[in-house]
Amino acid sequence: MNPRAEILGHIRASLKRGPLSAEAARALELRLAGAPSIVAERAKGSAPELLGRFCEMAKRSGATVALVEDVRELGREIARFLAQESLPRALRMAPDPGLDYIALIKQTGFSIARGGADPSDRVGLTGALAGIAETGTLMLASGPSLPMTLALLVEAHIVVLARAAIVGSYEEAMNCFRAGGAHVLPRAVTFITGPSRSADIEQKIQYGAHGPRRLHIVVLETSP
Amino acid sequence: MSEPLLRDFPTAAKRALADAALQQALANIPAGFQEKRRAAIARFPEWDRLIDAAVHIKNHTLDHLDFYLEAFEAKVREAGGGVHWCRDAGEARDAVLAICREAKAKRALKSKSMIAEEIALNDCLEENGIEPVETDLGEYVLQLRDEAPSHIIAPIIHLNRGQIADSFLGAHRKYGKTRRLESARELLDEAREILREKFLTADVGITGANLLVAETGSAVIVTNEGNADLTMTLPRVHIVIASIEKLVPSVGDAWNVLRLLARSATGQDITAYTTFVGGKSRAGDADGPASFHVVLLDNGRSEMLGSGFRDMLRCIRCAACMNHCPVYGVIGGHAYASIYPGPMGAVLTPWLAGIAQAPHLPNASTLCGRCEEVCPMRIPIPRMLRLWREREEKAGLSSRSSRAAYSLWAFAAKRPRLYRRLARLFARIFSRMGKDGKLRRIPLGSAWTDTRDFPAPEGETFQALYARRRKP
Repeated sequence: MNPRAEILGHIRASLKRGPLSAEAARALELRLAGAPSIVAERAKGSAPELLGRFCEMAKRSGATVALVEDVRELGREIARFLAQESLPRALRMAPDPGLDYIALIKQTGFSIARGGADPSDRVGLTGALAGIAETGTLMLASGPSLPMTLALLVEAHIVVLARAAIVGSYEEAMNCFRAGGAHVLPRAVTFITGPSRSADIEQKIQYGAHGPRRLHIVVLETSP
Repeated sequence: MSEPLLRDFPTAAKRALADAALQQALANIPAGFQEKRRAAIARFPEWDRLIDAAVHIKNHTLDHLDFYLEAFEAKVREAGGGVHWCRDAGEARDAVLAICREAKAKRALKSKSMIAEEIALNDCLEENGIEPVETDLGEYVLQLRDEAPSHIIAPIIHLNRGQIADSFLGAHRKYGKTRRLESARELLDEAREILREKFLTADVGITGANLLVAETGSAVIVTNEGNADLTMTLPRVHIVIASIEKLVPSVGDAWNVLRLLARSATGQDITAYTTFVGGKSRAGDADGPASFHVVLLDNGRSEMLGSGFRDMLRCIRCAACMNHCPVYGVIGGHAYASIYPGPMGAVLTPWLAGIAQAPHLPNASTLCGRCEEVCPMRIPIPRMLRLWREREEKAGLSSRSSRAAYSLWAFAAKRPRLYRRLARLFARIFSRMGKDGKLRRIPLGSAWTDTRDFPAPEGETFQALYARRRKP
C-alpha cells in the first residue's frame, strides 16, 4: 500500500469509520469557508478608536508611528526619520503603482530606486494592505508590486499606510482575499508586528535579528 | 558529543541539578516566560472563550483528519505545489533529500522546525553532501556547538552569553572574526552578518509549520526574527515539513489558535512575523521560489489518534507546560534526552520511542497539574502520565521495589480490618520516631528524606479521627 493510502487508512481505523459519506463531506466543505471567529473587544470600535488603538499597539511592539496629513508632510516625515536614525537619504521603494506619488519626494533630495532590496540597501519603503488595530500589525502580501526583501533584508523598513486601511481584526484584513466564499491567497501573506527581534540570548529582547532593526509606520490621512 | 540516552534520565537529572551555569540560566524562566504570559492573558479578557473554541476546533479537525488532509492536499496541488506523504522519519528524510537532489542543492537554509529535529534531518543532509544552515539564532548556536535544543521554543535557554561568545569565537575565526564578544547585541550582529551571506547563496529553504490550513493550502509559520520569511523567499525551492496533526480547517480557525500561541509561549500578543504561505511564485510575482513542497509526516500519529493519548494531538508546541513545570524548571531540557522535553515530552516521547526506551519520563513529574492549568489546548497531561505509569506497571517495566510496594499496599487496601490495624501500627511507630513533629529518616524513604523532612503522624489514623468526629 502506498504511504498516502496507509496513513489515511490508519486515521480511519483510529476513528473507527470508513471514508466520509458524500453528505458529511459536503457539510465539511461548507465549514471550510469559515466558522465565525471570536472578535476581541479591542478589535471593535469607531474609525478614530481603531486608529488610536493601532498606533498604541504598534508602539508597544517596538515600532514607531507618525500621522501625516498629505504627501508633502510625508516627505518631511521620512526625512526626519532618516536623519534621526542617521540613515542615508537613499530609499529602495516597492514597484507598487500605488506608491508612484512618493517619487515626488525626489525633489527634496532623496534618491529613490524601485525594486527588490539588494544586501547593500539600508532602507526599504513599502505600502501595506492593512493595519490591524488588535495588535498594531501590518498585513503585506507577495505579488508583482511587493518584493518581500524590502521588508526583510533592510536595516529600516518604512511603511506608508493609508488611514482608511486600518481595520479591527486579522480576519477583517484578510477579507480582501475572499473570492465568493473561501479565501484565495497570494503566495505569502505576512503579518508584521514590530521590528525583527530575538530573545534567544538570556531571554532579553534585541531588535534586528535578521530583519529590520527599525519599523517606522507613517499613517497617511489623505491618500492621493 | 555522545548521544544522551532516554534511559539515563535519573543520572542526567542529578548532573543537571549540580550544574551551576544551567541553574543560573533556568532562573530566567519565571520572569522571562511565566510573568509575561500572565500579563498578556490579563490584557485579553476573551482568553477562556478563545480556549474553548480552539479545543473544539482541534477536536473537530482530528475527528475529520482524513477529510482535512485531502482538502489541504488538493489546495497545495492547485497552487502548483507537491505533497509528500511519509509514514515515518526515514520516508520524510528521503522525500526532502530527493527534492534537494533534483534541485542540485548544495546549501539548504533551515528555519527552526521541531519535525526536522524529530527526523534528524541535518545529519541526513550532511551525510549526503548538502550543507544545512540553521537560521534561527538559537538553532544556529546549537549547530555550532553540535548540541540538541533544550526547549521547544527557546532552544538555547540552557546557555549563557559567555558560552555563546566562546562558540562564536571558535566558529567565526574562519570569517576573520577574532575578538571575543561581550554583549548580546554584538553576538546578534555578528550572527546576522555571517548568516546574511548564507541566505543569499542557498538553493533550498526548509521551514516547519505552526499550522496547516485546509481552506487555502497554506502553511502558517511564525517567527520573531523573520528568518522563516527569508528562508521561504530567497532560495529557488521551498520545502515545508509538518506533521499531520497541524491541520486546522479555515483561516478563521487558524487565527483563533494563533491568538493563543504567542501569548502562551512568550507572552507576546503575536509574534513579530506570522505568514500564511503556499505554492510557488505566482506569474508576475516580484520574488519567491520556483517550486514548493509539503512533506507530511505521520510517525505514529495516525495510530495515536485511536489511543488514550489522542488529546496530545491538540498540542500547538507553545511550551507553556515546560515553562511552568517545577521539574523542568530545575533540570532543564537536556536531561530528558528527547527533543520534546518537559511535560508534553514526557507524554509524546514514550509514544515515539517506545515506553520501554523511556521508562523514567512519565515518572519525572509530581502530577502537580500546573501543565494542564496553563495549557491553551486543555490537554490533560497528568492523566496521560498516569496512563503511561499504568502501562509500565502492566508491562512489568517499573522497578521491582515499586511493584512490590504497590502489591503490598493493594493487598492491605482490599482488607479493611487489616488495613486499619496496620495504619494504626505505622502511625504509632512513626509518631514515636519523630522529633518536633518531623521525621529525619524513614526506612526505604531516603529519596524523600535525604533532601527534606517528612511530617510525623500525630498518633491517630485518619479513619479513627473520622469515626470519632462523626459521633455526636
